Amino acid sequence: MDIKARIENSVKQILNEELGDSIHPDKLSSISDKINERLSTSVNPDELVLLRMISEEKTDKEMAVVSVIGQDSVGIVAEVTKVLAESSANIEGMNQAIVSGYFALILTIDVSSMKITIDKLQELMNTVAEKKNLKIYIQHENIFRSMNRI
Amino acid sequence: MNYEVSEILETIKMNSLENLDVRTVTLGLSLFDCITESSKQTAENIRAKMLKYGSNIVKTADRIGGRYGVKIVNKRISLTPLSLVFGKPRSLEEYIEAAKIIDNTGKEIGIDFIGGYSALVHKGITDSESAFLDSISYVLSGTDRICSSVNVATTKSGINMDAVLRMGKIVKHAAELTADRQAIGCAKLVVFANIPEDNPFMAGALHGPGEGDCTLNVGVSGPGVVFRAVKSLPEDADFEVISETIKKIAFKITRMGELVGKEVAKELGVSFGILDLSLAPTPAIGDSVADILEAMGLETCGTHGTTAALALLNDAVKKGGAFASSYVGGLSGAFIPVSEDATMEKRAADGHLTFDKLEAMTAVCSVGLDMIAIPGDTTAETIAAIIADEISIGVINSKTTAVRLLPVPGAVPGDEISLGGLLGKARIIPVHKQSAEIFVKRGGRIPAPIQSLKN
Repeated sequence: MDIKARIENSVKQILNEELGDSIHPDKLSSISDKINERLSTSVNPDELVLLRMISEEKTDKEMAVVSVIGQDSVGIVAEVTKVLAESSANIEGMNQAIVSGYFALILTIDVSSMKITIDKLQELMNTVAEKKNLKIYIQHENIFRSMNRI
Repeated sequence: MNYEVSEILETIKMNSLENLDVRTVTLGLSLFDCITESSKQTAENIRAKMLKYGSNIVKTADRIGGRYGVKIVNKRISLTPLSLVFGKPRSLEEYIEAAKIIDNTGKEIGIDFIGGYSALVHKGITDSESAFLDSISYVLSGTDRICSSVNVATTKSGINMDAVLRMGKIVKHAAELTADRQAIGCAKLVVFANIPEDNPFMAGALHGPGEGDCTLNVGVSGPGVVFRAVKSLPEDADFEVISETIKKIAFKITRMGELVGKEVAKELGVSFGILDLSLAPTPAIGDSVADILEAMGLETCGTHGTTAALALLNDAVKKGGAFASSYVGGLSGAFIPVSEDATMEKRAADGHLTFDKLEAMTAVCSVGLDMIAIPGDTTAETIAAIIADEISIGVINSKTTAVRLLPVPGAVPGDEISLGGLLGKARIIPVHKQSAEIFVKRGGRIPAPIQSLKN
């Protein structure tokens, strides 16, 4: 976890412990935001450089979402992650759920250092999907951001 | 992870199960810099410009679509109204020769339609526009991809009834010239009131004279997604709930379209124009606007209540979409093209959805009497009267309306025609037989309505 997020989390945690239910949640988060804002303008120059580096490093990442849906069977995760590893796509998050009796595996991957394009990765995944009788979708993260976030 | 599993699965469901797609990315090209004395040379210049900006449109759109898992169904080009570009009156052969050069270029690029064989004659018809209008039916018959649109009225100028009568004859003639192909020529010809300058949808797309050099406009789709959302609501959900549900879906659809459109524009190196947030049905099962109206509680689309249901749908789509994108334009609303909407076609064939009800529905949605097959013995004067009725709805309500009719030669009510692909199939539906000939032949212009005096 980066410095900024650590600070923000600690502030939120302390406020929550001290004030808890005695205050409206919106007010609580507004106070916490204000403290964090003040902190971020008062950190020393070295820390500022560090924070900038971290935030720049963050923007360099390009995320995509791999959704694997279908009947559960042995070795799905192994097959999918093998293709990702061979393509140099780093897995940043993994989530598994059973939706309406179907197996759903959602992986967030960083595609910025990938050796192949998303299209090509989709082709490779189609082979896995066919072999394991699944549906695999790879979509750039932006589509979820644009459709679900204001 | 930044997104809930449910959000990710919802997006996947919309794209792969509910026919949500980007219906079209349409590249608008200004042709004023292509004009020369010779119509052939002008067409060659247009070809060069189409190749310069459009060669990569299919490849680029497919690649961007792949990146987001969204299908971009059609890639198209719209042009400055060619009646302006050809300037002085030309011979029929010259118009056809030029149109074929443009048509073949579209084929080479791999696009399915080219819009802009168009004229703006809402206040008067010049000699060159008159010669151009005479060529429309021949060009539609002799080319595959070229679409034509003619603006015969605006709220500001009133209705040019001379142009309306001319269009009645041209529609009829286009049907006769393509009688061996189920009057397909008429599927590529739209008569407009208040034509938009940035509409990406065919057959009415053109690149208006006020547009920039090269712009990409996007048309989204999504009746299937809205249908399933409305269908999932309980029967006692009130109108606020229905409206809210549609608004949320429209927001998501619009955001998706804007994202994809902007990326395609960026990669092609052209500016992004507008997003047309229309619900455009296709003949695919479950991709119907009529299904949405029926999901709201109508036994059949076309029965009493249909206009109100459509008005609610159209308004909610616009409200959700307008919040999602700053550059909304084109037609923006729900389309009701009969042959292209499987359920609407079925209701019309069964007699539940009549011609007159369709006309009423166009008062509260975009665009107009669209893709309706009518009997072959309908006269040019009756077609002109139908156009006049529909156009007057647009003029009085300060909105776009349009007419795209197929008077299929030899066909009588009940006959079925099949146009294939997105154009679908249609049963011939009856129109009134009583004459309006004296009315439409009076000549001149119906004055602009009082609503036009806004200054």
